[in-house]
Amino acid sequence: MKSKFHIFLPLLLCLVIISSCRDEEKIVLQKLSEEVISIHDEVMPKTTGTMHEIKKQLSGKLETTDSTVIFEAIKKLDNADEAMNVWMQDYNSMNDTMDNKSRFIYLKDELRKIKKVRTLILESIKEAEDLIHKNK
Amino acid sequence: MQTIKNKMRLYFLLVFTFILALSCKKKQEDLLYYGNSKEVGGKTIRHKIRPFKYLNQDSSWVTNESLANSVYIADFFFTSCPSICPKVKKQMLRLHEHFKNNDKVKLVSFTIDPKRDDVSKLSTYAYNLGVTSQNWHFLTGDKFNTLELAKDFLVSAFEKEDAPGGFDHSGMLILVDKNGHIRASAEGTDPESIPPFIKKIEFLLKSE
Repeated sequence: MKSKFHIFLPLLLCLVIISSCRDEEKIVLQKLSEEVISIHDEVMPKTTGTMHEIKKQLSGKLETTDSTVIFEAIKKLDNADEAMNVWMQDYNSMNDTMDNKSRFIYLKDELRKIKKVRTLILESIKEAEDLIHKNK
Repeated sequence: MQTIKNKMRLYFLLVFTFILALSCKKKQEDLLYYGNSKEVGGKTIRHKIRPFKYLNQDSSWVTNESLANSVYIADFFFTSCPSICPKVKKQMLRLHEHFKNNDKVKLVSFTIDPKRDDVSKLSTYAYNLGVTSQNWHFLTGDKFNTLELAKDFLVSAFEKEDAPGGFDHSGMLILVDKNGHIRASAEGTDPESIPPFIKKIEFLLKSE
């Protein structure tokens, strides 16, 4: 009886540890997924709002400013917009069906990609705004 | 004689109560006209959606004129949107279910990513959503024009500066009457905003 008890207790302990580790993994994955989407939610609206308006302002300056510089700024805005659209197209929003290990690798990679898209968007806006400001 | 008098009293009391009840009943207020109005030559010119022409998921042209015999609910979306659009589409589906047999109500969803959302993509999207009626148009056209058109719908093209954190997606649903005027709106991400919105749509249908 005693020996059975000795086997049962460590087994139970192992089960508790494994299950708590899995819960922790789920929390980490959930946070990672939220971080990816929150970066998307932060900058995606700029592609259809701010960037659209800035492009209109830049086009309005074509007659008074060096057109090469203007076209370059518009191109950068378009490239950043396109980078966001491509990211959204490729992003697998059903990634919660993956096993934990694959999902972790996937989300880490998506986080890196969406951060890169954010940089492209913010930099293109900053450059365009500086150009507009300089040519007021 | 006394009985007749009593009956008369009772009758007057009943009529009085009925009139009182009628006057107390809350009247459905007329729907507002959204946007700025102008006075020109003594006439009120109301804010109106500009003319538009887009292809729908069946490769048919949809214009403001082709929608002129119905009221319509508009929203702006794109098929690869990972966060807000699926929530909004759920509420649009509720409206679709409610009005799918009513030809006087159309649903109109404009994509803001026409490069990817072509007719074929929109057709698959509509099919996957389970849209069976001809009354829900998924429209694709020039992106620049769509972003300009969004302003007529008083939708700031997915950008809301007053949202927490500075910006947020806009998931507004916009009700437009037969004359192209905006008459009501609902928050497309909030399921609770749909029942009062349906009442407003039904009220507009009765008043037109």
